[in-house]
Amino acid sequence: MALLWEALEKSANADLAAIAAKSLKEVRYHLRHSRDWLVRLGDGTDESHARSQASLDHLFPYTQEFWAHSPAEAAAIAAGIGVDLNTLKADWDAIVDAALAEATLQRPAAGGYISEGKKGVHSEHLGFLLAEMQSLARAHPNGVW
Amino acid sequence: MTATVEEVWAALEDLADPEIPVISLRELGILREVRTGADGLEVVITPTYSGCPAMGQIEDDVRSTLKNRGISARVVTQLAPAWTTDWMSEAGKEKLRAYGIAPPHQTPAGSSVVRFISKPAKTEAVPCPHCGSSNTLVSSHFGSTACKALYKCQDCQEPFDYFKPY
Repeated sequence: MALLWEALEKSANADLAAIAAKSLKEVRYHLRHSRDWLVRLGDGTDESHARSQASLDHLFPYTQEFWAHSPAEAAAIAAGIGVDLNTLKADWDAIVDAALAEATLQRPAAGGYISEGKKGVHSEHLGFLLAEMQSLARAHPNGVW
Repeated sequence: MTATVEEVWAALEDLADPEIPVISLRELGILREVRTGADGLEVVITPTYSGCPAMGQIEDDVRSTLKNRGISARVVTQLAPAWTTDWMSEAGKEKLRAYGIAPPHQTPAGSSVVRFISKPAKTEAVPCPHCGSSNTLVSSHFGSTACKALYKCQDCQEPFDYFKPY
C-alpha cells in the first residue's frame, strides 16, 4: 500500500491525491512495524523461524492479487488519475527481498493462485468472516452505539 | 445570533482533545480555519489520524460548543493539506510532555517509502517525558493508540507513549 499511496499522491484527481498524501504518512509506520516483526520472528529462534517460513509459504501466493486491477482501478487508470499497479512491482520486490534477506527467510514461488477477490468472487472463508463481523449487530437489532 | 469569526475562535479556544484532554484542538492544529462561507460561518477541521475514533467526537464537540453559545456555524472537514504533527504548537508539545507523552519530533523532509523503512530515524533520540533521559528504546511502533509508539526508558525504567511525527 505504501508504494501505491506514494504514486497516487501525484494523481491528477485532487481527492485521491489528498487521501494518498494523508495515508502515506501513516502507512509508513505500519510497514516499518510489520517489517520489524518479520525480522524479529524470522531471525529469532529455530521455532519462530520455522513458523515464519511456513506462514510465508502459505500466504505468499496471495500477493499476486496486488497486481490485478479491480474494475474501479482499471477505470481510474483509463481516466488518467489512477496507477498501473504493475509499475510498482520492481520497488515492491526490492522492499520484500531486502526484508526477507534480513529475516533469513526464503522467498517462495508465487504460483498456484488465481486472483478473483477484486471481482467480488471470494472463497468460502468470507462467509465465516462476515458472520463473525455481523454477530453483534444481529444480536442487538436497531442498536445504536 | 450572527457571530464574528473572532467570537467563534474565542468560543473554541479552550476546547480540549477528547483523547488527550490536556491539549486543545487549536494547539493540536485540528482547528484549521474559521471563515465566512456562502451559507454563513464555517469552521474548518482536519482529520488527524485516519480511522481515529476521536474524530467523530471532535466534530460533535465543536458543534455542541458552538450551539451552547448560540453560535450557528457549519463544520467542514478538509483533507488537504494533510494534518501534520508539525502544526502542533510549542505550548501544546510542552503540555503533552507534562502529561507523560513524549511530543513528536519535526517530520523529516521528503522521505520516500523506501528510505523511511530502510533507515529508521535512529539519530533522533526520544527523551523520556518522566525523567528527561535520552537513553530510551522503542518497544512497539504502535502504542495505546495508532498515532503513538510505545517506548521504554532505560534509566527510570518507565514505559511511555511517543506521539509519532506524521
